[in-house]
Amino acid sequence: MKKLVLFIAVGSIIFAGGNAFAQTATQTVTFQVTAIDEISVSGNPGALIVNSATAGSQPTAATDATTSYSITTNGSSKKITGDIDSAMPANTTLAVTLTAPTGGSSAGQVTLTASAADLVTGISTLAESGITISYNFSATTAAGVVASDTRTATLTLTDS
Amino acid sequence: MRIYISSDNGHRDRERRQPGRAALLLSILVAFCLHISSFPLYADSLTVSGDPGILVINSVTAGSQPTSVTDATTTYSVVTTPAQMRITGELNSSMPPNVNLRITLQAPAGGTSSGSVQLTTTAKDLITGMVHHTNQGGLSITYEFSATVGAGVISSSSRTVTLTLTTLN
Repeated sequence: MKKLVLFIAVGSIIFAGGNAFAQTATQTVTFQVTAIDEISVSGNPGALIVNSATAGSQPTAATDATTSYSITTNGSSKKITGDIDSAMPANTTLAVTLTAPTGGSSAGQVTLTASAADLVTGISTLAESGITISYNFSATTAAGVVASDTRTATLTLTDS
Repeated sequence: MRIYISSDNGHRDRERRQPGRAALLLSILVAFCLHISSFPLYADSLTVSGDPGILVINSVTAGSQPTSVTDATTTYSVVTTPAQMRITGELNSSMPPNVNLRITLQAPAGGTSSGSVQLTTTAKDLITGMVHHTNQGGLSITYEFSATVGAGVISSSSRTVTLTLTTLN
């Protein structure tokens, strides 16, 4: 009888240990982040009209600082260049100044031509918006009267 | 005259061995019956439909952080006994810096979803309060992958997500 009780106790212990529970399921999640470089502008500046002068001086230049740019990059050592789609009329100049984003360096006022010129350098991993763009349109008296005309200014975020 | 001498030693030996063997078999049977009496008529289980598609961050609105991506193409199925059960989730290793992987499990009937939960190497509750018998399939699993610009470029990488059905405590 003693043996019977002992055997029952041992058997119960053996089977009782099998009540621990956990069920699992697994999934493999694959992810990736690509190079991201994006720049945008808020719109077009107002018309730049040279229509006044101080007697004895060249005509007074017109300026516009009503637009801004936004930028996002997850890379490093980027720059912003600017150019226009065709040359300006003779004796007139269009220049632009971009305020630098955090960590970048502005080249100051840069005359825009059909060749891309650095406007901001030293840009790395940032996301900023509403950064000021200033245009300056100037003309000498030799330009004469220039009818309303347009140029497309292109800002490019690119590798340094 | 013939004298018959008999010995019942062997017989008594067999009688001593048989009760021991019989007792062992009986004890095993009793213990087994006690054990299976606590079993439900069905087994707890947790399964998933497969792996989600690759999560690729490749776009942004200028001036903002990169656009996060989601996947809701996979599902899970769960069967539970009438006990307080929950589902937890964890990763096999940490995510790279400046990126997050979040998961949302649709709750089965009677359960409560924790909503969008950031996955780490520590198990976190995704579903709680399953106190009734549950047998439900096709429950949605939604992953969200996000990154800041500080993450830089990350080549294709993977993590193993483990979902565990366990008791509430």
